Amino acid sequence: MRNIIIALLIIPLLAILQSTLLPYFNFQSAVSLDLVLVIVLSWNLVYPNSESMFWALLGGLMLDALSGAHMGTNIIALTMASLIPNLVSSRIWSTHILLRIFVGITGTAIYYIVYFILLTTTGWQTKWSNLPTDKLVNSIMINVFVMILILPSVRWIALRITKRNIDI
Amino acid sequence: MYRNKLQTNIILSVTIIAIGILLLSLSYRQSLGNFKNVISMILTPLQVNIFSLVEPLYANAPNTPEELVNLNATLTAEIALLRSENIRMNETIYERDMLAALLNYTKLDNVHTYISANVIGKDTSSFLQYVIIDIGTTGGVQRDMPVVTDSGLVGIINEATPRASKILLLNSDQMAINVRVQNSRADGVLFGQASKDLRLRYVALDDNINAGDLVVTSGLGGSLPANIPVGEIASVRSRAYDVFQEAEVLPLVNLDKIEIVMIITDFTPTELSPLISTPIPDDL
Repeated sequence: MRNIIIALLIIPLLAILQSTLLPYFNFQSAVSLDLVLVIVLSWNLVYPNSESMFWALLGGLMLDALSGAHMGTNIIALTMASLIPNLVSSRIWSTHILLRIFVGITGTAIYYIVYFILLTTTGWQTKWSNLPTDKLVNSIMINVFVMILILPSVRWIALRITKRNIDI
Repeated sequence: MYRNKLQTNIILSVTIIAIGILLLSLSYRQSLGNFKNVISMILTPLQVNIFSLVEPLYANAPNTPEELVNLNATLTAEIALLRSENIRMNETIYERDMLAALLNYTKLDNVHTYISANVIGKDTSSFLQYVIIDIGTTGGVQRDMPVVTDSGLVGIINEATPRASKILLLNSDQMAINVRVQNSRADGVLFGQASKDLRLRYVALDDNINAGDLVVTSGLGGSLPANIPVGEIASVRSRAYDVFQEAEVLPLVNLDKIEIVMIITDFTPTELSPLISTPIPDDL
């Protein structure tokens, strides 16, 4: 339950920062930092619990509300992206740098590809040829970088608000 | 234990994805109005407060006093009115010549009433060209109202909730507007593109258009008022074997740096679909 309360506090704030603050920085035209995606992936990595899937639902809902895309687009894309950390992570390996990089790369790639497919199917004009060069590679790099930076803090919060079960 | 957790997570994910698909289909049919309004009512006050906190970080003049911001907004509105009037006068000169030949010609006046609004956010996806403003239906904003700045057309209201609205920007690939090249009176259709630039299409080959010509809305189709400046022709592509010529148009408004916009509130888009005749079935 505390997991969900933390999500309700953090996710709307990050979604608004992604909409209000980040677009005004110059680097945003070349590189797209997906704050909500990064926090959802990080949380699912450090706390791979079924409740953590709620982070993807809430994150998607907030992003859809602040976006011109149809409601549901980000929910589906974020949920599919967060499946990777939720399934591959274990308490022992969640802090390993290679796992963070792997989750950052695959999570961002899945999110963008699913998002692009949904945009295309709902009538948006999308240029698939531009996806890798324009956004995907740059976004993967910045998302992985930020994920590596914030993961200790996310883990610190997760350890303090959740019960420590030992799964064997 | 691990298998149980795996099963639970997969079942939960499938459930969330199913919810997403349901919302997507409802949103596609535009049946989610109230649901979006509720979320907007929660997010907008938070967004306005955060915007006021972070605004000094990227404002043109750091540490701007409130009076200066208000003065800026007033002057911006005044410039827009003057520019609109200037264009209207150019049009009036042209109209005078036409009226000499067409005695029954009438044209609607181009003076509009405006509501100004602050841009408080942009689309969370870098693929979509939307901005969010701090005025909604309670402030008199409605869907499809044109949005301008002192420089020219910004876009149209795509979605209006009680306290906030989303503007579909001119350079969105969902936008196609009827325009006219002011010097040559050539009509065409201006398309936004995924690459964010503007492309003027369907201009007749015998129309003389050149780089530097001003492009304004034509009013054809009834979705936008006439004579709102839109952009300037950057280059023209005209080939003898093409049916039409094309041009690349640079928007007059810097769409990446919009802070204050004005919504034209006295314009009602005309619904033309009842006037378009339905095709005759083949078997008749």
